[in-house]
Amino acid sequence: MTDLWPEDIGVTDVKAPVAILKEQAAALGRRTKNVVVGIVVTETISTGQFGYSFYLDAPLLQFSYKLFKIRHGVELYPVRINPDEDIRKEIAAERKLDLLLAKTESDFLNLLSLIFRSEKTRKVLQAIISQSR
Amino acid sequence: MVTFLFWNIGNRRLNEIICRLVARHDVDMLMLTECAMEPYEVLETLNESIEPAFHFAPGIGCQQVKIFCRFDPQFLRPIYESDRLTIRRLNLPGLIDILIAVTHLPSKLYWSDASQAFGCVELARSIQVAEQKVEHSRTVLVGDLNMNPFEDGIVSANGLHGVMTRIIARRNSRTVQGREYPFFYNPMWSLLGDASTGPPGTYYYGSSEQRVFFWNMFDQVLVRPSLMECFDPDGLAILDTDGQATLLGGDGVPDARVASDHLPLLFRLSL
Repeated sequence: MTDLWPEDIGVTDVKAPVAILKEQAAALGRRTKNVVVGIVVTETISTGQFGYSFYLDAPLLQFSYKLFKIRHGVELYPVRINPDEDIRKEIAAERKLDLLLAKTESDFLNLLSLIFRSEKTRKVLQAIISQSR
Repeated sequence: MVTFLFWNIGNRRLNEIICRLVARHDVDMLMLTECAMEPYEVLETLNESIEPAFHFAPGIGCQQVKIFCRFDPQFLRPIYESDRLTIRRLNLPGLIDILIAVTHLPSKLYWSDASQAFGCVELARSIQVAEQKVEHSRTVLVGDLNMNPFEDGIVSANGLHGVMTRIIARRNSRTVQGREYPFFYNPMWSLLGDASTGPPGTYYYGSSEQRVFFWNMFDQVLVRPSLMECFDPDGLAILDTDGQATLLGGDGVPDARVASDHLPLLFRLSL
């Protein structure tokens, strides 16, 4: 039997959005010494659509806060991002484009940076960290 | 008996009316949405005349709901939040430990019926995650759901699965295509229409479209079967007066000039 599949199957330099989210979730834990960690949860959507929610989780408080969710098709990008409403309003002040849609990995990273650095995210993190002490 | 009051106050400054409602019904936990007042403004009015004094129970990230309680807020710890939902663990000394989920879902002005239904799927999931965390399902959900009890998101199995009778709710759950979905008991069904005591709904909207309900029951309280025996059916009420003035206009609908376009919802739990 001849294997008809291409040689470079599974080889890609495109990082899946969920992989990026998991990296950032782990990074948050390292930065806060696991006082706050990121948790990525797979959501059930429809066939051909992949959805994930990103939570700030405080194990010491038994508390979770949903920061945003993302959705994309089989082709990884574009990714649609649905952040907390307060964060969305903040980001809208900085971006004029369709701020909910990241067409490339680079665009996705930029949007994540905006979300993580938003005033709302900072306030939630500060509140969680101070109450965990 | 713990008495709860929920009200969407439409960004109006209603501290005096709120104070009269709280005093009249001996409210222990006050939940407000669309509250543009700062917490200190509400507290100053409440604590001018009400004993024991109220405290503000801040959330961590949910700005849409403001909660005030007569007990120490340490007994009302947030377990889960998002921008429109706060789930708190209510663990008063000597009383049954419950979860109380308070929410303000997006309105039909901004979300389609389908989006609202999908929103309920997410809400139901968030509640179940919180229940797994605390290892019980003694949960009460209250809020402005912006949907009627008979709408898809409220009744669907993968939504809130709110049923209209205790007998059905006592089955605890239903299996649909191999997957088990827990029930909520939705007592708001019993308050629909003008044959029930009090106003026929919590929000009035009339238009010239073909399909109009006029009165809607957007503000609802739903209770898990495991908490049903604690729920006081006689304590559930849609309020149309603060004891001094009516909250309704001359046409019998919520008067947004005097108070809010939503009516307050009162309920009690024997914990």
